[in-house]
Amino acid sequence: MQRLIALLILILMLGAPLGVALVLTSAFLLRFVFFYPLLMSGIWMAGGLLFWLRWERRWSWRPAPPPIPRDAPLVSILVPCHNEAPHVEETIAAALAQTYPRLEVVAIDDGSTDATLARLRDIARRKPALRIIHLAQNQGKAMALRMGAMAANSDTLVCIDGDALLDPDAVAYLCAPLFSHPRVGAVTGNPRIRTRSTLIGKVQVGEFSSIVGLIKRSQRIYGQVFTVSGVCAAFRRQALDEVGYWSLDMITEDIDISWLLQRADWSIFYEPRALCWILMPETLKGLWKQRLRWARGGAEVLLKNLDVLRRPRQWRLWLLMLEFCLSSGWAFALALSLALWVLTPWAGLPPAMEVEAFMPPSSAGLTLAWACLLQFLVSILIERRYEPHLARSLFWIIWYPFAFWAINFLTTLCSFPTVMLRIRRARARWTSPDRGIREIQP
Amino acid sequence: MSPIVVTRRRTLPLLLDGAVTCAAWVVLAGLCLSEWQAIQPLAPAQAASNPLAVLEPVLQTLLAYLLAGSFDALLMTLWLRYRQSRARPRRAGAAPCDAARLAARFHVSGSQVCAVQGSRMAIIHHADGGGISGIVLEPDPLEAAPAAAAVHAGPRGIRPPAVLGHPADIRPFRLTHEADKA
Repeated sequence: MQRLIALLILILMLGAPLGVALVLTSAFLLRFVFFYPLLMSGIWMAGGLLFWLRWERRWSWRPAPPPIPRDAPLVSILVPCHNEAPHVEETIAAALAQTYPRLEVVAIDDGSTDATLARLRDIARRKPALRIIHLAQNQGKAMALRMGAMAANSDTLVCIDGDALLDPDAVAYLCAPLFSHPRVGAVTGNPRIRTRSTLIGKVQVGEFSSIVGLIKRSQRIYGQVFTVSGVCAAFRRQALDEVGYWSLDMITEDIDISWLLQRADWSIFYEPRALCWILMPETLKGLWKQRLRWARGGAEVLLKNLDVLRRPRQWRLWLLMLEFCLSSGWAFALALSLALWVLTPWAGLPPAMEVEAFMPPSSAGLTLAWACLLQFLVSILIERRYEPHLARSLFWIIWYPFAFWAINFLTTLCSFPTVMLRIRRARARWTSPDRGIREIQP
Repeated sequence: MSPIVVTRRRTLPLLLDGAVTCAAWVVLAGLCLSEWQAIQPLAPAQAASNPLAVLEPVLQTLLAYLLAGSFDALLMTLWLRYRQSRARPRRAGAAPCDAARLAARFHVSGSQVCAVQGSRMAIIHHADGGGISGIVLEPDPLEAAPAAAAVHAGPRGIRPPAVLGHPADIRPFRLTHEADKA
């Protein structure tokens, strides 16, 4: 049955742009291709500014101390690692150096084949607050997190990646909403890019502040979040337990757990002050692999959660689903417009479907480019207090509209049919990601 | 110490990155200039009566964008107010996650959960289906000498070095260790 539904979704996603072109002409399709990013850009800017004006600008920040309750409950930081020997030491050191006073760090070595376990043992000899769970065979991040949750002694679990560096106040900020709001099941932090050596790395700095940050803020205004950041998020154990913890067969466990929690009526907060420094791909190959995984994960979650449409009680998630469908549909609409433009001179298309000029008029292109730059300026206005020199990356952001929209367009085209045609039920396992470029040999 | 990683790279790729980015900005500036020139023919006729007429198309675009953005913001504000006005009551307390509940969730015994929670170093074996097939507690890394005595782990706190199982004891979905036998 699920296979049939998946096939129907794929047909709909492929057929909808064609239907629009047939019924409403290709000009309408091109307008959608142009206006949809513009519309979303406007929504993100408006949402980001609203979040900032209404809440964030009044929130205390350094040098004010972070919010720590007088009788601070124990918090467990879960660090799933797989072949993280080069990074795990600084990750654990940053986790142990939190200003939050009552912490245990549970490192889960997921069957690493490098020196990760040896490094962890070495740190544990020096740091009593570190505990180690070693999974004898590689089980995947979701299982590692599950085992970490089982081993943790607290009801508040902060989950970070094995190569992420928590800012000293991050845990205090992440946990504060969980302590004060009983409806909150998870709090997602603010990932900041560490790797800034290549053009790809530098552009991602802008992406994470101007796109990811603004989207998260807008979604908080709306009240539902598409996904927590898997690299840095805090969870209430009760909420996790209610939804059965992380699913083992989802390629992006963070999107999945976000939907599971919100479907169970738990709220997810975004805490921009909970900074977490992360490594990101710095090569095109690494970026492609990462974005393909994200796109596949999104499609899997769409397929898994389609039944929210049949549940009026969960209507708040409908808009998130619509946004994901429109974003995927946009990629197919762009692909169809391109195909029609190529076919127009010689294929004898119906007049309504002909695309004479694919590129928008320069004024339209400029509007998009300036919208993108404006979006980045808004994000600098909001995020400069977390990263004072953020404006420097403005120089590189010129590539964002071309490079990243293109890669997102291509990954959607590649991943969507794959997910819909081949429903995967295998366990999602670790692969070795691209974690920045290597130093040149002198 | 700054967490930012800037790896030393060869000079040529660095220069190339800078050059193509500069070129992209120049192209953007050129496009803006050509747009500006496109509206210039209107200028002499209209500038006399209204100097702002030259900028009219640009201002119209900006105004349309501002209006669309304001409309978005208005919708979001209204939605936010609606959401806050319908603040739902406190969530009914879900069942507390004690060791028994965790044990049921992860298909192990309560004492095993307590043992893992009380240990500083544990090895978990899994069966092919994903179920836990064995838990071996290793000595506390802080202790120099390995301990051999089996200890029943308590529900909370960091425990003394403990060995609550051996790889030989691992059987699918069933753990054998001293705590269970007791």
